[in-house]
Amino acid sequence: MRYLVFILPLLFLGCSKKLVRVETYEKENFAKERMQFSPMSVRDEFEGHLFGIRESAVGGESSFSGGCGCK
Amino acid sequence: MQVIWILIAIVLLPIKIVADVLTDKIDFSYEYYADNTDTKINSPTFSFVKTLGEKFAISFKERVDAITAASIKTAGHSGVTNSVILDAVTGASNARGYDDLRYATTANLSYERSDVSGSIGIYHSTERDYIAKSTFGSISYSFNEANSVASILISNSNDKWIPAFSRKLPTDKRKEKRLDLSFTQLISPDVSMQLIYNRIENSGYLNSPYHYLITNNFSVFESVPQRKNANVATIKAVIALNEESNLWTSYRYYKDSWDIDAHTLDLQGFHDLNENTTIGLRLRYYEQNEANFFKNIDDYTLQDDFIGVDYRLSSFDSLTTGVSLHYNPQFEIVGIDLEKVSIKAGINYYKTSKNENISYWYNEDYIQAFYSTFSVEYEF
Repeated sequence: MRYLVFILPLLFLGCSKKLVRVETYEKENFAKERMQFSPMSVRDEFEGHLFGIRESAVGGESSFSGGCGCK
Repeated sequence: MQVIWILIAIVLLPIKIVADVLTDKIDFSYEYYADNTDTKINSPTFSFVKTLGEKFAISFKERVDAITAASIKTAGHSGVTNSVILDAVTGASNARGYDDLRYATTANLSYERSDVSGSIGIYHSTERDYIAKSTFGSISYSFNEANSVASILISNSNDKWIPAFSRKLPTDKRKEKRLDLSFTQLISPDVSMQLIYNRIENSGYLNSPYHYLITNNFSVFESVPQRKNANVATIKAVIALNEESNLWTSYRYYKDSWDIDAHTLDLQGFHDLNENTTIGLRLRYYEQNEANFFKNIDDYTLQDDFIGVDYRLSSFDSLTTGVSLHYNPQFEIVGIDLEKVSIKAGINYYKTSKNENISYWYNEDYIQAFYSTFSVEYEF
């Protein structure tokens, strides 16, 4: 697992020219909070905990949430 | 050890683009949950972020889950003649007050340098019958003129069961190793997408020490395998519909070594009511199939290697609906600039499908719950 820490960034080093590029002056929409991937971050964290208790599946987020004895 | 590897990786990563700017902020939130199984949770949280110079910040979060009447009633199963009441947490529900208090503390150190940001942290929570300890670290790398971001998060948890009643467990440890990889890409001026992969490795005592099966011939505690590995793939998209509205979508596929497959679809829509206020609506659908060792309650025998009565090991689905509100004041009060205040609130309704194991354990056909969230954030 530890080697992935190094490998993943290397995968993207040479490919940036092939990726889509939105110019700075076109990024107005992304400045709005509702356009973020966690627009309701407090609710998302609480729900991550709740759904982890009520359902088997976990994951799907790229942030850390700690464990508890109710899972 | 993994934290050291992450620190090394931060140093070695190539540096190119500017990441998000660290800011000082304080946040207070309050969540409330209540369902038809007599469980109620009051959950206040306080957190702050304090910058240390231009590149570092420390953050601290303290959460308290106050759980009341967490009683589990065993009834309704045809083979059970005596109703048994057992509290999920303490072995006996209190008539007044909280049955359990869970204190969860998170502290972390963040670092931002040009296009790279990183964070390392610790998590510690205590409740009457469970202690959780985790370390975690993450790195995000922004490139392609900030159109693309790749992130890695690694966490390692070493938790411990302390059953509320005297019971010798096969092991009191529960461990989790986790790797999260994500890649975010702007697709157009109106669309961004995110791909996330999670690898989660669990080992130790992975079920509740209080779940049991009672039949006319025998009674045993629930037992499940002591190892479970899961792979999770998620795709998210945020789409601007016009200047005032956008759509948020997410699909998650989960598969683990117990052969549980799960699909989750989440749709949310946001609309600016005015320049200060945004309303959101959401619809979430979840479904899973059963674990490979799961049987109908009446089919278990003492010869079975594993016995699962927890409904989370069975096939079921759930539906969540909700509404949210986000308010940013645009004025000052007694010299305080309220433009830096952000207020968010939401209320949601959750309901599972009918399930035999929910009936067996909770004496309800399904689980339905209301939960609400409220937060105030101040940046300074």
